[in-house]
Amino acid sequence: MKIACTYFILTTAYFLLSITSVWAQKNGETVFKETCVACHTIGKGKLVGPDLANVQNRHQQEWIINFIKSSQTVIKSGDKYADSLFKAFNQMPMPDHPNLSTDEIKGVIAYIQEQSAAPEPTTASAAMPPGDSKRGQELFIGNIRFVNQGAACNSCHNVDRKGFLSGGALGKDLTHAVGRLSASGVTAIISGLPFPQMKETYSSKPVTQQEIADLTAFLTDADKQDPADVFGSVGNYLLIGGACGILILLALYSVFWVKRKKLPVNFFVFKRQIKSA
Amino acid sequence: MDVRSQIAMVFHLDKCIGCHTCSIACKNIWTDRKGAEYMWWNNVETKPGTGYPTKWEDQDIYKGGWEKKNGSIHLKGAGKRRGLVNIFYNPNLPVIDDYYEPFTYKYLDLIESPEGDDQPTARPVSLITGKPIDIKMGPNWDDDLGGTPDYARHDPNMKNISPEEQEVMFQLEKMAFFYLPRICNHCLNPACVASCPSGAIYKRGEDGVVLINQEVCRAWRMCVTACPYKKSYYNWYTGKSEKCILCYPRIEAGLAPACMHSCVGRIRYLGVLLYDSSKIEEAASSDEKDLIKNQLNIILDPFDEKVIEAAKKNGVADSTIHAAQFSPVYKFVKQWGLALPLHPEFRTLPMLFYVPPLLPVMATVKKVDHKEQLEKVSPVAKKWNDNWLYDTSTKELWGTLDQIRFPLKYIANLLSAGDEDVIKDKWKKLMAVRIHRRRVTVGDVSHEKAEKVLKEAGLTAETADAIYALTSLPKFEERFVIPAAHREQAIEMMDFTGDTKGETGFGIKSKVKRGL
Repeated sequence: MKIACTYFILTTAYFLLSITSVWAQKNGETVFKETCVACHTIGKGKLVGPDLANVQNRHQQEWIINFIKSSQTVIKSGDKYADSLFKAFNQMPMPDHPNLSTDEIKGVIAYIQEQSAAPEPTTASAAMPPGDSKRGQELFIGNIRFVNQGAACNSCHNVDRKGFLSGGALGKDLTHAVGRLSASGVTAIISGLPFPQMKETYSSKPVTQQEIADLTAFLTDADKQDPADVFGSVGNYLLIGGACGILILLALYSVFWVKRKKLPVNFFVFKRQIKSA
Repeated sequence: MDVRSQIAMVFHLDKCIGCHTCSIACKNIWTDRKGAEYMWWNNVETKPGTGYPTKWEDQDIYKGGWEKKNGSIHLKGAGKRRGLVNIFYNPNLPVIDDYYEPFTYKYLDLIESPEGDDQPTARPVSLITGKPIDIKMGPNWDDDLGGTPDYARHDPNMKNISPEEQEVMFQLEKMAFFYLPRICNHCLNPACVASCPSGAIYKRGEDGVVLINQEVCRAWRMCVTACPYKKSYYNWYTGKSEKCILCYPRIEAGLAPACMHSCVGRIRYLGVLLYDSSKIEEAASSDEKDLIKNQLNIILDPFDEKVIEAAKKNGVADSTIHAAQFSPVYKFVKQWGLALPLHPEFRTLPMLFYVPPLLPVMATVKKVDHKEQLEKVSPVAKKWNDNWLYDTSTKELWGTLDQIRFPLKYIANLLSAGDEDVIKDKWKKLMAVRIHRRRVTVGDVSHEKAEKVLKEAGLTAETADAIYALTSLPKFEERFVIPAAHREQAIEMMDFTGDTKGETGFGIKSKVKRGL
């Protein structure tokens, strides 16, 4: 009875606490800096997604709210503008934000409106240290660990590089990430973690500024490399090598089992027999 | 001395009429199942002939049995290293065409076909694929020297026989052949047991029956290669290998194995032999000419006090020792020295012995000039153009042995690793018994001649009578001396029999988890 009582009280308390935290209103600035800043700027040009300066003038408030809650739903509903926007930005879907309340989104729009009028001077990108591409590569494939013990990038992402093992296929192929998103966009994504999976992985083990710079430098190099350098010769080598390997194996087998029983003992007797068909 | 008991067999080849009743009895009981249709745990071959599977005796093809290298014996086609290297691809396996593709006929077509202009036929269908096939072969395709000459002329036992001698054999092929019934030999040094990578094959301690545990077998099929007699078969349906079990459920119940029980010619004898298992390796690795001698030396005298004492110490039951003393096999193999193992050169020390057939020996064939004779014959009569004389006279004492129509070498290749003297010795004994009995029953042989013959063969009149009696007049209990299996004691070692007392067949086979 006592245990049941304690259990009941504890669960109730936890339930109430979680409700209040969900309901807790966040102001527009907090939400924007937590959620949007990884991909969007206000008046500083496009990053991963479009510059949001004066977005309130371009669209109805209701449209913006729907788009933020689930961009793909809006695109699929046949909205032409949303579709063109999606295509313009490398078909990179904006993550859904189902846990943002309408009021919070309204707060964000208000914040954008405020900022569009008087932009706040930012320091983040300017303060980026110079990146080391070599180190970035080692970090990417996990030869050097992240300072905060985060998982190596190639457990989920792939980069085609000469002499490189293929990475994971869970996340996007990052060979031409910089070409698609620009270096600053990549930096913003790694620091801002807009995607739920990445947020889960790195929010408790954040990647340091230096590491971000190194990775960006590496991905910039990867984007610039000649695709022929990566694949051209290797593809042929694989095919020829494989064929040669098979031939060598077959030759080995035929030498190894040269004394094997090759035919049924009665082969020639059967061969002589008259067949019905 | 490590005395153990073995249930051994003797097949008297002179008595075999080649009726295949044994094969059918065995098939009906054990191998009339899916996946086992092609297996003949018991089969009867015509010799000379290539047998089943074709040319099974040619170990250059099948790599069965043991071979002696550097003083010790090794498996020819399997064994530890070679078995491991070839474990996923055994290069010497017989294929289904080496046995034969089993078939049946679509009998229902005879009854159910719609009315038409033609008679319905029952087409042959494969028992493996279920599709119509051309029947290419059967398990005794060359029976009675039938079929193509490819079969008999490719008999592996023809080696070292001159072309002229072979020609003589085939001139007379319609008369000169004999049958060789074969089952698993339940060898003392079984190559199948030695080759099994899973350890699924074992030789039963109490009676030496070689069995494959169907739950342990993992179908590596090394035993199929290793057995030089090709008496281990792979069941393609169950994915396990199978072999003759010497009808052990029948033996345990005191019945003769089905093939022996049904034998029309009563050629089969079964009884216990006591042997010294500590000398098996020594005997199996002896020189080829000593193989038979050493194999027979392992077999111990069941009347010897020391042997009995050692046997008892090893847990051989009194009833088994008693059975060994009355064993017809002991008489044929040891006392009278009439029976020989099949292909002793395979070095598996087979425990199935054959009394060599005298049938093709009792007459001679000479090359003669018939010209003079033919001129006397009426011009209308059919004339034989060949110059052979088939002579059945017994004027010369051992004359026929030296000029036999069937080369001695052939039988020697089969039963004594090519040693003709061994066969000659057996044949002399068999002929002496016949001459002696002819004196007794017909009386046209003089007493002196019969005595002389017996003496030369190393027999006495009493022994000759005993051989005659056990060969021609044996009762069921004299042919099969089966020791009590004492199953009740064996069961009591594992379970308390009181638990199942009075269930009279009603009960549960597996252990019950409920209840107390």
